[in-house]
Amino acid sequence: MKTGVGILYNGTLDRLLQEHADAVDFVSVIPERFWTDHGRDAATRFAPLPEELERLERLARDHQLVAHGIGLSIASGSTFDVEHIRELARWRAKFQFGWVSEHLAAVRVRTEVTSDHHAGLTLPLAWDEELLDMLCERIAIAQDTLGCQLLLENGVVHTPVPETDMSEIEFLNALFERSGCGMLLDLHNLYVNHANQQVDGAAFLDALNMDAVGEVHVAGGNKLYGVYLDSHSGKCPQQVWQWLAKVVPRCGNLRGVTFEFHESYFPQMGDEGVLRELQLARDALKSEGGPTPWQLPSSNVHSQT
Amino acid sequence: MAIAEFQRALADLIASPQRCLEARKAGRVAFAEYALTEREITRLERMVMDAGMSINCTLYRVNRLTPVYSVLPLTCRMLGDSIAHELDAFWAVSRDATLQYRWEAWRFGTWLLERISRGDIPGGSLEDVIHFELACFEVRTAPRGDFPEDAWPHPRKRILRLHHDISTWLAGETTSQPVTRSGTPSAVLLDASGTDLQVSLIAE
Repeated sequence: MKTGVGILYNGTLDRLLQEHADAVDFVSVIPERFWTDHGRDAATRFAPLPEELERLERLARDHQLVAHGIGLSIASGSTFDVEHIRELARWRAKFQFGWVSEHLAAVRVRTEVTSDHHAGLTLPLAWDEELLDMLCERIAIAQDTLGCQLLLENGVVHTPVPETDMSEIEFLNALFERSGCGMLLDLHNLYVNHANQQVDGAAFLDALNMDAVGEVHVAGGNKLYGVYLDSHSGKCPQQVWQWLAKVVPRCGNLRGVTFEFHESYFPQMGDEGVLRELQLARDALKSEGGPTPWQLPSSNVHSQT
Repeated sequence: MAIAEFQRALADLIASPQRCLEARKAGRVAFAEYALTEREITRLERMVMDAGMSINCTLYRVNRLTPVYSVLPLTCRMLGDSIAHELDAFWAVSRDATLQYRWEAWRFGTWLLERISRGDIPGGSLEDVIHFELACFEVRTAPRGDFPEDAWPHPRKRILRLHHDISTWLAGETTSQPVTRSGTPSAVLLDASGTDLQVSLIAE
């Protein structure tokens, strides 16, 4: 697959993707939207949702699909859900996902009754050696189970954990080097942290190991009570496009740039607004010294640990 | 594992603005119930004072409301001003949350039905609306299978007996008007065997 432009699927896109199929090179789907998880104790844990599955099959007929998971919670101290990864692997095989990404996140926590209680949002992570060790072990298992490299996405934080062993960027670079996983670089998440936490986005990107970046996400946001949110509200900020233009030539293994928006904002954007953002992403890929075409290696990349 | 306990304490804070306020006053004592290191307690003490904690609490509520509202919109509207109280009470006892729409909505709906049966909140048309919306979601997400159109039972069809006028509810759904109680018993057929869910009143 060449480095392409894609979109994160939502239910408002069916017509646009039919009428403007060439606007995207791939469609990113959230696998957990297409199945029901009946829980670890259930005889049959995962059941596809019939109508959603039909949508996915229709999409797969016309588009290359890639997977963007939201439910693994790979950084949770209380749980590591290998069966969830096995299900992802089954769907990857069935729908020939071009690649698989997840969030570098902890959303499940232990309570009195379960180790899988959903925390309601991604918890701030402590960039410590302990977490790094735990993640490297888990990534090795995940990549072996999936049979491919896993891309992990940098997150948004509203209350950073103070006095960690490493900075976020030191942690990420160490994680990519030690585990062999790749990065889904979410430039809008970086922008959110820049807007709220004064994170120096340019310095972050300068320090990041760009060879690890397999996919880039771009999106828009808006403010709530004076705080800038990753609400996927449509048009991407100009700063995000500027960062994208700067990082693309440095990403030797970039497979795709994906535009994300929440379906509730589609009436405001319309086809024209969505297509405009996709074209801006495509323009960024044409920048001088941009990435060379790159194929998903048939041998796949596994953990180096 | 230390990471797990730190994350549990952090999640408890994010789930409860009240707990955050108490922790701001109480300091490290607020974390006595968790097996934390000194370093982790210090981190939490600083994080709970962070202005960003209020946005964490807000996002928590938005994220947990989304699956409930997506499946039970009429129920939420019927609860009116009491929705915040009911959700807070539900979330306080719901210690095995999932953001899967089916389970979150089913758990909240079931929890409300139990409160109605105990007399904690008035039932009436609210009880019927909960049953109606849960049943609609059930038939829409049931396996299609290979059933003849007129098969019965059919996983994507259901007859629901109600004690209130369904037409009033549907009008409420389309106009966002509060659903009013009419007191007319009825039965409806929910049919998701085609591409869209069909709801029809059955004459009795």
